[in-house]
Amino acid sequence: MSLAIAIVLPVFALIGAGYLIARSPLLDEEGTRGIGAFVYYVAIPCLLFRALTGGIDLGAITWTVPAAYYVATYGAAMFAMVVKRLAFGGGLDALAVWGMGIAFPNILILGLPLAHAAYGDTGLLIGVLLTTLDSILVIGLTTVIIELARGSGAGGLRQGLSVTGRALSRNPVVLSALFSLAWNLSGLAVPDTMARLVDLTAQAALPAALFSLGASLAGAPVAGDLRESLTWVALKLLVHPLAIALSGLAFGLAWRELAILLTIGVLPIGVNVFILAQHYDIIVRRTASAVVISTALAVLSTAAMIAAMTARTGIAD
Amino acid sequence: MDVTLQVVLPIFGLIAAGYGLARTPLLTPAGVRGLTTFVFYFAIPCLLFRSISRGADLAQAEWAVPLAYFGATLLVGAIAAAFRRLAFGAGFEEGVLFAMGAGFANTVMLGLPLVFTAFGEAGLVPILLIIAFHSILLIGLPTVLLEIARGRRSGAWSTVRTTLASLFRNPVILALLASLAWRAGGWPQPELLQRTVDLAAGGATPAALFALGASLTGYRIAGDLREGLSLVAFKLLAHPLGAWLLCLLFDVSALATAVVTITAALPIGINVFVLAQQYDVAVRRVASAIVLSTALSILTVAVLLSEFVARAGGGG
Repeated sequence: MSLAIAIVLPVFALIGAGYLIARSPLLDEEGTRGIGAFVYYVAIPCLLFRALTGGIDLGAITWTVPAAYYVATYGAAMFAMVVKRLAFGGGLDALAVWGMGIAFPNILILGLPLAHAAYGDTGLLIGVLLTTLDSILVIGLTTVIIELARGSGAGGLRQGLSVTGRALSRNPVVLSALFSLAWNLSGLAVPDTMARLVDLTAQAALPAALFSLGASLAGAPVAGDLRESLTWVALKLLVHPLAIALSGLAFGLAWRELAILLTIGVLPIGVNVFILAQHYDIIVRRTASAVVISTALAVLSTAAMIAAMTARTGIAD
Repeated sequence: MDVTLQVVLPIFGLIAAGYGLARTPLLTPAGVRGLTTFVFYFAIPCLLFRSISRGADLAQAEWAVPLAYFGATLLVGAIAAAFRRLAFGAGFEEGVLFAMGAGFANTVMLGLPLVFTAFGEAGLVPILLIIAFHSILLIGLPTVLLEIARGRRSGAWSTVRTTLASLFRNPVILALLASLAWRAGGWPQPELLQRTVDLAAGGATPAALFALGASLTGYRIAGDLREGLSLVAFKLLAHPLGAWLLCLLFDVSALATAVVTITAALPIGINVFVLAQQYDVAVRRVASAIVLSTALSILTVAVLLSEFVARAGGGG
């Protein structure tokens, strides 16, 4: 059996299980939020702490990796926004949500396990770096643009920055990543009992996160203008990785780094895009459809990308 | 560091983390129910399937294990009820709840993670033998007694039927049966199925402990504390003592004796509260006893674990 399938299918099987149970009376929306609270506030912070303090070499990543990634990501998002404006129209706020759909792949829940399994510690480290940067460079920027589009000039900007600042200062993923990095740099040893508690808790991060992703998709029905959603998904799964390939070659990334970024590029649209769309009440149904459809299609896109990359580079841990 | 603390502290640390988060607005009671659904309907069944269909061999089960465990449970329950009558006065229904609390351990949410962490898959065989009969005996019997006490003999019969029927809707029991059948039938385990089940099973232990801690925020320490504390003493001291003695009597193997005794030393299970609430008997006392016994069980479990691990000359 191919390594790519062995890595990808179990991950999507858990998403499917969460989806199915959340469609039954056993699990309602409030319950799904409870699983999410455990995942975001407890399990994932422990996973990040373990990943970032466990003898990992932070010097392994050069600045060219995030630079190449964000040049490609902003380029692809702007291209997609132009396509939407020409083909479907829409105000600046809708364009911002659309751009975020391209620029915000689901790294935290899908990217980390897949990149770790396929590319080892480097995959995990790059995933953690990008998911942390994303909360500022993508979620933050999108929030600011939407507030600008809605407010008037400087007032909108101030509002956008303060919303973003408040969200960041309470974001458990960002906070735990910073805390873990500080711990790593301090050179302190992790006490044995704490290490065991963190390890035990981190075990639940992936299964519970995948299950809760599936369950939250059950609350985002496929509806609205499907033509627009499908175009959006196509742009995400094709244009974003294409832009990463071009930019990665231009920055002269190593094959392994490029393989990791490309795998992140074919991840589905993150659920946070739907949450943001819902919060501001902008193209909510189209966003829901795009998140669900891209997640279903990502089983193919990620398996194909990992298969192609591991065949080319022969890397697998 | 002591092996016992390495097992016990992280387990109770997770329970405390669950309790802590559930005290904040981030995790609501409905959210805790969702988390419990994930554990009970998905992660634990996957853990059982992984363990039984590939590892732990229930064919090597010692049938003296359920005999010793439930023998001790009934004995301790009867003594507890008699004690309650002498110390706190009459009241048949309260006596039933008191006896149930003295013998009803939290076998699934706490017992499985603890035994699995401390003894590995070998420890699962004895505790699964207990779990297989646990709810039918220890929920069924008190319910029938309460129905009879309220003069509803027909109610008692329908209770027996309802209890039996609910077994076949209990995901833990169903997973147990399905895994046994899978193993007995020698059905194939494709690699993809194994990987999926393994991935899901990894969530069982931590999520169960966290959910248990979170659910404890629903209970307040209130009511007659003298009675609550004596109930806790029966559960955490008398029940394991009785189970250990009967294991000696029935000549149970060393590992199974350790698992049986530690299972009996677990705190009072939440089902006791469910029944107390359903019949509106001793609700506050039971709630207090559940919280207190869970907090205090860190001591009984740590002591017993270090005792048995020292005897066996090593942990799991």
